Amino acid sequence: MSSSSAPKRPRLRLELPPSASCSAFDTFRSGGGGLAISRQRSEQAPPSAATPARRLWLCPDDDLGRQAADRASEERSQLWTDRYGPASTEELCLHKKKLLELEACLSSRPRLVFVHGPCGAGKSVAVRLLCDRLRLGSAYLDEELDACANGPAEAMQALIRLARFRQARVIVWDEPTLSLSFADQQQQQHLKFGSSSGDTAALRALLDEFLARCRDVCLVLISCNDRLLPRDWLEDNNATLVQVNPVARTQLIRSLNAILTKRHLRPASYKSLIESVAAAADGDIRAAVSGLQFSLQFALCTAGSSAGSVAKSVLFRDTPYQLFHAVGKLLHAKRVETAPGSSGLAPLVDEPEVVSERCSLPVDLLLSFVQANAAVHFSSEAVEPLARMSDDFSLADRLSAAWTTESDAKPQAISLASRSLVCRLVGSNRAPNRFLPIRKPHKLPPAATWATAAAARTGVDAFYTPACLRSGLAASARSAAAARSGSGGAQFVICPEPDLELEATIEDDDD
Amino acid sequence: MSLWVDKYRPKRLDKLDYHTDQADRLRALVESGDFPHLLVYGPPGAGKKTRIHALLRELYGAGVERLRLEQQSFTAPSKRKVEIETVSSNFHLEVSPGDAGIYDRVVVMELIKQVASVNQLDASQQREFKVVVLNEVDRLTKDAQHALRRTMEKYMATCRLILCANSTSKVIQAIRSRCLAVRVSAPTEDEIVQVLQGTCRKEGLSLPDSLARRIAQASERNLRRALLMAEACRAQQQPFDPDQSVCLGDWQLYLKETAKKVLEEQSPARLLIVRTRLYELLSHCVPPDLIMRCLVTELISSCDGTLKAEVLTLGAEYEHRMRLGQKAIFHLEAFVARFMAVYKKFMDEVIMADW
Repeated sequence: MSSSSAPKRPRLRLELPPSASCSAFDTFRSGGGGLAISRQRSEQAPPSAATPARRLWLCPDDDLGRQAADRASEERSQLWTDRYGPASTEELCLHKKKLLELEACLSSRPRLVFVHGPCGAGKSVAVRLLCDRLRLGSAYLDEELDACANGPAEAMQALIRLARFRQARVIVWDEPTLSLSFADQQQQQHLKFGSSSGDTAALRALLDEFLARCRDVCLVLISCNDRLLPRDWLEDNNATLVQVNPVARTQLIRSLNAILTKRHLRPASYKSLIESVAAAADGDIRAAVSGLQFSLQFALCTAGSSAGSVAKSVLFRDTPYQLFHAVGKLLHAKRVETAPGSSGLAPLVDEPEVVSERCSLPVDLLLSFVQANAAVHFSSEAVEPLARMSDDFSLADRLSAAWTTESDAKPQAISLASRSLVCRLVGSNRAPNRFLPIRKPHKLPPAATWATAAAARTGVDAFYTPACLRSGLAASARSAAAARSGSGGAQFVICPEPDLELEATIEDDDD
Repeated sequence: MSLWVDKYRPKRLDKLDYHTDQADRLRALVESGDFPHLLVYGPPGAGKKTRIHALLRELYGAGVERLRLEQQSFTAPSKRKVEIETVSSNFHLEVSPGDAGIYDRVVVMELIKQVASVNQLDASQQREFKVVVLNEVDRLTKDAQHALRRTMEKYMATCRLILCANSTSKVIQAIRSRCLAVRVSAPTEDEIVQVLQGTCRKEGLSLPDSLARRIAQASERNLRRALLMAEACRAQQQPFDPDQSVCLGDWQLYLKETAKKVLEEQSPARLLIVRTRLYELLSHCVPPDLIMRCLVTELISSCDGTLKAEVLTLGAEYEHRMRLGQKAIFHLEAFVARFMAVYKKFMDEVIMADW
């Protein structure tokens, strides 16, 4: 296994004399090691010392040896992702059609292109290689900017510099982010609305300004966050969206094989390793190549163990589940496929406890989501199992409630509820397969407003007030609100909800 | 226009319409100069808050009724800001700490500290303590209740607490033992009729006795509801008519319809419809235990005698769990689902027997 890489590494290769009084070596030999030389050993051994040593070969020129060593160490320190990255568009992992799409898009040079897709799908490399091949006159903003801290002002400067002075016709901005100073954040506070946070608002403002100032430049934004910029903003700016998908498993394996070939290794002998690396990488080419580098070095160190098991033990990526996935996994409860003859239920693919652990969401939240979506999956006849399941959910809520029991019982709660769901949603109880969207649990007014100060003071009774009294109340509430600002007296008006307005008046009368 | 409920609320202990001997005792308590922390509990619409305000007035005079509404904010240890509304006079402070959700502990501790760490300036003229009224103590988390316990002991010299709750079952033992418990039971129907008649007299209306009685029956011994219903009847028809219909609250009609829907069809799809209706009620601040109770009564009244015991058992079971649990909808829905299962099985058997 060490055959191919060993000659590059040590400066000299010695075969130590059989009589050398080195205990470490003795143990090596007695273990039946044959030719086994640790690197450390070979450096310690002076090149010309050991008198009876039989030289196999020595480097004739010491400088040459050093150069080789430097090259070797450089190679060792270099990441394979950099070393074996694609050099031309033919080597890209991107799907052919996607590549054509991207090429067509770039060569037409629209004002704004937004390339998004998961990390390690090859977005940045593809854009770079395409820009070079098409000779678009592209410039890369991230080379102009600091690695981390860019305020909007620096980013704007850099953009203008590229557009005006370097005459760049395409500017590529990889992972556009702005780091806002505290003052900027304060300033952005008022721009902030909805879910978009302050810095995306700042980014939008910056891009708006740039697009207005430089009209003949094509700006390419690359991001793995497809919600970096709101859709309506992108539409307003006539942006071309290109979505890059994760790399397909077969494509991953092909690329990894290519790397092995470049390293003069036979891909066939590492088949299982490559497969498990590709599986663990889950469509991320960068992770796959790093994984291969890591596991190959590991496999070469521990020559005895099988490559496959190494890959499994080292490379398994612990991907957290999104809420959506976790709920789906619990609801659909896939089972392992077994032979048709076997009796009983097949084991589950994903154990509910593992799912809840891996999504690492609060138990309450997960329970609410599952409960909100479970009932739809029962067939119209399955009232009894549905009732049993609801019963268990009720019990689970009782367990997970913080009031009486401490939070210790929370794992049990999710276990109880999801197991109950899983074992009742079987066979004919399950509604025929069709598309069922996952819905959010109904949002109640936050627990706090449940009986807001207002409703509480008038006695939880917002809904009690008969409809015929409400219109009159609403009118008087408005007038009282007007009066309150002037009088400063003992009047206060409470509007728990826009349509249910209540008034409570406490007057100063001493009768 | 203000509602009759607010307009004719008795302001003094001697003006109260019912539970007069309890009022006398409370007055005696105030006159003795000092009193322990109070825990006032009883069903909604029984007059807890009225009694608390009357007691405060007895303590401090009319100055207590000059109220101001304030927005206070506190910072939780996690640097999160908690805002809460308080109603206060110069002598007391009223707050519903449950509004702060899981941050109620901070509110309870900070607020009481704030009030209690200041002594009354003019101790000779006034009482030497202030009063903090905490509403809905049963909605406080256990944490906050324990915090409350420590605060209660620490600031006894300058501050008295009046706790107000619907039931003591969610108030921890430690607090219960530190307070003088005052139970305000719901008024009887006769008492409600009297109050209604009295109120209408003050409004210059004559309320027929039979209508008053019907309103009292429909109100389920909730005085506030009875007064609201009476006012709604007035809005419907200016001189009262003895045969006029008592309009129930919208939520009651809505619940009746919901129960009907449960009885019509038993299937998962129907459960989903019922769920949205339950959510509708919950989001309009109808307390879940009330929903449960009304739903059980409605369903019981229209199912076979042999099922009644079982349905009641189910109702009791889920109501209990709802008290201990957090998410009311889980338990409401479980009850509906179980009822559906039981009812469906029964109906299937009946159909089989008929064949």
